[in-house]
Amino acid sequence: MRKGQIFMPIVTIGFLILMSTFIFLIFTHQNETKEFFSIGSLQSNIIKNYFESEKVFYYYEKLLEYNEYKTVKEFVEEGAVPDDCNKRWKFNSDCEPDFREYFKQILSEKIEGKYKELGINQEMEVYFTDFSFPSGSNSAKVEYNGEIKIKKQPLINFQELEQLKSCIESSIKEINKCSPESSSGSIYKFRKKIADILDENLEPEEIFLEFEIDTKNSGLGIFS
Amino acid sequence: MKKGDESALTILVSLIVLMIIISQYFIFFVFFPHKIIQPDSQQYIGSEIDLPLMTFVKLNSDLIVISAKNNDYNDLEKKIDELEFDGCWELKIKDRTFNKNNCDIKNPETTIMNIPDYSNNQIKIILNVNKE
Repeated sequence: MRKGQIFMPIVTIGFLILMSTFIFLIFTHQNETKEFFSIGSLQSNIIKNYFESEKVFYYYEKLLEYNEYKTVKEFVEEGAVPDDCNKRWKFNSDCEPDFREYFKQILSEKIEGKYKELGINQEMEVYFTDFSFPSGSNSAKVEYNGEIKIKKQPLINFQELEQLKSCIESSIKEINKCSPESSSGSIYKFRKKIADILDENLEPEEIFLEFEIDTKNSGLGIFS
Repeated sequence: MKKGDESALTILVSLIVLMIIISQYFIFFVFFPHKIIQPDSQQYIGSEIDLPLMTFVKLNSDLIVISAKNNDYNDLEKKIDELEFDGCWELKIKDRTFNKNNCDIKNPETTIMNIPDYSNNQIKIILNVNKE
């Protein structure tokens, strides 16, 4: 046989052997190649993790919402002062209302064990927990993490309540300036709408703060 | 050199060049992975059912809570019936399962969302969609 006649078949066979070797290598390194071929998995995991974090955020938003409704209801039950004051405000004593602190105290009892920090200023901010969603592949590791902090306007307008308190404190002699609902002797009764909430049946409910003050025993020392 | 010999040499050189190029391609392809964006459609399915579930739950969370509390799902069922997914699907809320088409889910793709009720208990909502 002449050289030229066997040359092409040999080259073709060699080429086939080489290609087969490469295909064999791909199959024996399937994990690496699979990872390599399915690029985009990391990105899709990040998107999925973002959705997961959104779910967690929503859970805590609702948790705060429902607990705030319950807190508002309990806040007004005793006139925004401790139980033993019998809805009667008295300045410079334990029965002097500290609205934000009292509200914070009730809310923290409602969500006890579920939060790390709770602050009530112009806005209410609750730091519930941290989230962490790691994603990874052979080529990269990504961790999506952060804090679950819910910030919202409180349902109660504390500034309005503080204005009412200041009005009573500064005008105890002329308490009618502060628009009491009724009076009987030296005892003046107040009733003020402070919030709209949803009750335990998730029906709308208006919440009124009711309290009274005895001008002869107001703690301000004017009539004592 | 004869004419025929030259053409054989040309073919030989071409094939060698071709083999070198293909060899390099495979070597880099297998042993040196790079980041190339090629979405895997199967992996996106989870995200695709996450969004409708989140939207449904956010729009109807109070209704879900009150339905679970009263164990009366009539109003909620009307909202569930408005949901649309390709293929067979079911929605589980607490211990109730809603399967509009009464079909079997053989290869489920699942997504879960929790919401609190008025008493701080957790309500688990599970969406199963048959993977095609």
